[in-house]
Amino acid sequence: MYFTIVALLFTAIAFSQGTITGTIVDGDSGEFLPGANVVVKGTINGATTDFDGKYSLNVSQSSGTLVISYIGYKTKEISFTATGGKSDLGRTTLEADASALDEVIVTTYSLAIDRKTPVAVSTIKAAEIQTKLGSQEFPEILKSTPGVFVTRGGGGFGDASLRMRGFNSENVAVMINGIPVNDMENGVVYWSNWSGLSDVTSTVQVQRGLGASKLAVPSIGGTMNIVTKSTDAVKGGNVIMTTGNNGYTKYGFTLSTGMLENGWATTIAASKTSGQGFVDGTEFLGYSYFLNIAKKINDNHSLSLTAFGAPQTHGQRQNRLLIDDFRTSERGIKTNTDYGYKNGQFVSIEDNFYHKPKMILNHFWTISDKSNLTTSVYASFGTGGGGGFSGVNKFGKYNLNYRDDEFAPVNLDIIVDENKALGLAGSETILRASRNNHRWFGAISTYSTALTDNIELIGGVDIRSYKGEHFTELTDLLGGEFFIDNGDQNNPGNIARVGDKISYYDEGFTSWLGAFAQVEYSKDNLSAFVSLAASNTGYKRLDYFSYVNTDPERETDWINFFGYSGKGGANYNLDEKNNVFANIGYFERAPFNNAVFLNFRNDINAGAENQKIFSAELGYGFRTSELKLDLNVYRTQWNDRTETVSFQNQDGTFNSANVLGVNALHQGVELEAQYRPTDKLRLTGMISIGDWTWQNDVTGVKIFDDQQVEVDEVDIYIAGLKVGNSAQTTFALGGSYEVLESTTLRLDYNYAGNNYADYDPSARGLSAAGVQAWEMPAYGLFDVGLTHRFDFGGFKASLNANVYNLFNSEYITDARDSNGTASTALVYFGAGTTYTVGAKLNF
Amino acid sequence: MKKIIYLLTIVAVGLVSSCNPVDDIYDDLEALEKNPLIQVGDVVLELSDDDYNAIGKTYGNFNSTDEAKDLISDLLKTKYPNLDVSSSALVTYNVYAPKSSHKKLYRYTVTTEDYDANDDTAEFDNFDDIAQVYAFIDTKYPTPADRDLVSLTYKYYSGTLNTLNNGFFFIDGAWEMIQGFTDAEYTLMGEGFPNFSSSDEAAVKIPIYLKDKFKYEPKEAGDIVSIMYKLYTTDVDDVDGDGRVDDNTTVSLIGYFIYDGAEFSKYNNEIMETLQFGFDGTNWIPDNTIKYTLGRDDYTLIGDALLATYAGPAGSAARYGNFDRRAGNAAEWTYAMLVEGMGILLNSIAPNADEGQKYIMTFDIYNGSAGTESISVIKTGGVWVAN
Repeated sequence: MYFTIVALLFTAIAFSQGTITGTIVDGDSGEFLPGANVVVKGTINGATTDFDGKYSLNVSQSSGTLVISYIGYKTKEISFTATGGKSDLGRTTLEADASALDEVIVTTYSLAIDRKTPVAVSTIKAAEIQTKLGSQEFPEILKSTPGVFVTRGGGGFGDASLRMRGFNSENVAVMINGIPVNDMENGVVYWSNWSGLSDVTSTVQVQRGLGASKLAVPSIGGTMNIVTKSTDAVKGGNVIMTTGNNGYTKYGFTLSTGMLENGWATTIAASKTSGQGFVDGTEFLGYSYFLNIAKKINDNHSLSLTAFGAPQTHGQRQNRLLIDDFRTSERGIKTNTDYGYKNGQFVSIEDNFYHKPKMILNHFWTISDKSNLTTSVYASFGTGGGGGFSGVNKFGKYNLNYRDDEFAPVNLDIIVDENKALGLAGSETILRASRNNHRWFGAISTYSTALTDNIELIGGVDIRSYKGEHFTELTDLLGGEFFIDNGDQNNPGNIARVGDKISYYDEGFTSWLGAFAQVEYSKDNLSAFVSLAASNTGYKRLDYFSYVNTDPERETDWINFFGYSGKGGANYNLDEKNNVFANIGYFERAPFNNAVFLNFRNDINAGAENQKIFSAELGYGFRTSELKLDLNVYRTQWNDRTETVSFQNQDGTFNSANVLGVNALHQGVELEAQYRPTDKLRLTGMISIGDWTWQNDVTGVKIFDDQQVEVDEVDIYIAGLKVGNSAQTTFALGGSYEVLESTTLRLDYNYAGNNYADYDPSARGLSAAGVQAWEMPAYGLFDVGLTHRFDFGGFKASLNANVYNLFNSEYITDARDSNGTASTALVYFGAGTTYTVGAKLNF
Repeated sequence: MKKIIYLLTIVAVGLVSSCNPVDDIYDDLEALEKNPLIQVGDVVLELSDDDYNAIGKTYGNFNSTDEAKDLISDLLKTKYPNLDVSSSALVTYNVYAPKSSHKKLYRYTVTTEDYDANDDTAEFDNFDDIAQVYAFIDTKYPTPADRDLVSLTYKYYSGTLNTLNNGFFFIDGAWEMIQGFTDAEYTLMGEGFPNFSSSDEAAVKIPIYLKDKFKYEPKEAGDIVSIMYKLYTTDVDDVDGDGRVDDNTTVSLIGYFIYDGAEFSKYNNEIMETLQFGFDGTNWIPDNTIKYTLGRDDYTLIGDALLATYAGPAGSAARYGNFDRRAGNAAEWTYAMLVEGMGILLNSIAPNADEGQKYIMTFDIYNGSAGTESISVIKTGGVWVAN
């Protein structure tokens, strides 16, 4: 992109000779490409395509060449003659090709290139996101991708969970513009932090298995590489408005200055999303913002600053319920027991609020024809947490002292009255938030040089520093005078009021020092790479509450873990149509923070082991202009896995088990195909069959309550158990058809089967050995969509409508096993029929 | 092209017709709710006419308690086939227990000569001891027949002198006194003459008056009192001895009235009994098993007592007020542990229970969802063991 911009500098605009119009479509999918750059060669005169892929450009010369470019596609040049003032160039197709992405971007963002990089890849483009995503959670755009399973968790805004090849989010590397975003302490990705990202995403590349990243990232299941917009070459913008079920409302805009004469370019986008949520008590309000400022310094240097964030607050459904609860509750699958009313006002007992702005400054330096250096410096500041209660539990789903009916909202006024009556004894039940704030700074610098015509060397460093602050904040005394807290050893019997820290307060520090090197060989039909990465992860913990101030134990030394990874692979293009590839890798990664510091104290786990992952994969690809087909077989062996399993107690409170030293084997086959028999029709399909199992029993697993107090120690018998909450068989079939020139219809079917309930660590004693977890009923859902493009008062406009789960199927997406049966499993149901209707106006 | 669209549609329709993936589970849960199948239950049953008919007792009562035990056992088996071991039934039924009426009536008013004939009563010409009355009856009617009734009017002194009319009924070889009403009492019951004009009137008024009459001599529910009352009616038996049976005269009758704890009513020759039956898996047998459902404090009591022995399960019981029954769970209560826990509880709530006393203990459990279970224990050798 930046190189395109370079080409546009120092040119002048002349008077108009005529207008050139045309449409740009994706050669792969046949879908229109909004946002493609169309520039008259040798000038700064250009336009971007609208939502329909249409452009209109005033030219000053009667003939010339148009340069059409779009990130991720091969740039195309077409000549034009503007006779009689007007010229329609008709439909121009761009061929997708990651190798045509700006080389620097490909290298820095670790994108895979088709028929070259030997990893399994699926790519989702902006057009698909903008038409299909609607009110769905961002990762749901991947739901028809093999090996990927996405659910909305409890159904709250941003509470989605993404699993790849049966691995949960802490084992799926999520990168935004090449910057890792997985939590530094526990590896988790919270999608609510990134809810506005879909508006400014240009491409999502899913690399399954080892992936193409040169960094030491947790790509055990795979990598989700999100590439945002960068600066548009041309001035313009759009306004969007979307409405949907349960009061879903979204407004947003994008504005670009285009590349100015002085080398500056700016794009800003912002949106506001609000609604009640499909599930009861999941009201939400979110904003998102995105800013990109680019400055072309000279031919060899350019700078780009990207900042984005999405502050939000939303009600959650944390408590899974029995199937019979949902069946008998008046509210059906929308039932949520985690909210109530206080003084007539809605109160979410389990709310979530967070804001995690991220800023990335990129420096691109073209050192020579053969070498370049890119450096990204980034920072993110997280503030927020999740709500809940402390003290006496009055929130149980069957507790009719505080609910008018089973599953009815909690009547908090009764709790307020009881707390008031307690007077100077203080509140016995309060609301609190478990806060998790952080500061994260990092830098990644990548140097790339061509050693010979066929060999490229890439090397760099990856430095990160992270401080996480964890504490419980008292958020509502619920009518009482104060709350007596005994969490702080320095201040037992603390008279706590709103805003005070209670229960626990500690800080975790993580330092990361990594280096990587990769050699790539490419000649004729063969390309291969070998890559090495090493990292030192240091952990340190400072506990303000569990130790008295004078206790030297309150602050630990740095505990260091050395991890490394080695991987290699090769792709061979048999002919124009067929290619095969293989990759193999082994890596060791540091255990997570909570596997190093046990018991939520400074108890250092001397036996903490690196997690060891071995993975191998074979792939086959077939390409013609109509058909694209990919087949992969993989096997991933993971030893000494550390896992924190949170589970629900019978009274609705949560405990967690720190499970160390588990081995797991994930293997499977994936097939993905795209078929485009005509320009107007596009068919897609995939089948993914996995076999993901735990391999060993674990002894001495400690169980903690949500106040971080150890409550039990158990042995868990899980050998042979299926990995839970991830459908091991998925299948998708989709079609889009252009019924009229301006109207496209879509139909998608997604099937999920062999989905087992997650095991409950407290219920896997010896007598449960060999009992398989409950298997959820398989389900298939239909989505339909329609996009219609039209002129609206001189503006290009489009209408976009989607209906999800068309037939209102009732299905279970998440379950926690109890004894292998349906009647005792605690579950979340997925959403029923939902819809969005949106309009977009381009200017 | 169109073919592909059609194909897609067909695939779509085919897949949709498979309906909701959770329907099967819903059906199972619904079936469980509608048809409770085998379960432990506690029935409270008052036999209806249909119930009596079903066991061939068309009169709506049993001849004896023993017959009731046999036949009710059969009835319960057919009536509650879904009830499981440890179920109980508290059954209320009627036993036929007729009371006798007189065969022959004698009316007599004790005369001055009668009092004078006895040294004890000659001085005041009245009785002042009930033994004197019985002695008189023995003398006056030396050879009574069974169910002879003497309606005797006499003067009796106990602080004040009253003229009484009481019955003396010869039954089972002895005279039994049956209380009658004085003239004043008939007046109280609104009668101008010391008798009733019809048996209907007697049946209405007597029960009302009896509450008053026995105010200081309280009766218990189920008590049957016998009363002799006078009725002015056709002299069909020629009680007055005038040779006519179509004239009117005053006759005395015995009425029986049963007290239900609040009111008297005419006794219709049936006694109501209540008996508990227990189901042993094959038969319903009369038993004295006590059923007990644990309250919140009971779990705490058991939990605290066993905390040292079974830390996890005991803590869970005390915390959640139920017993975790998930096999393999860290907090699992096995059957043996439950028996042990119930023993601790019974020693606390029923320390003086008799040897052989059975208890069916019902408690809340958690097996992934909330529910209840019951176990049966018996005191054997002073210890509570599984039964």
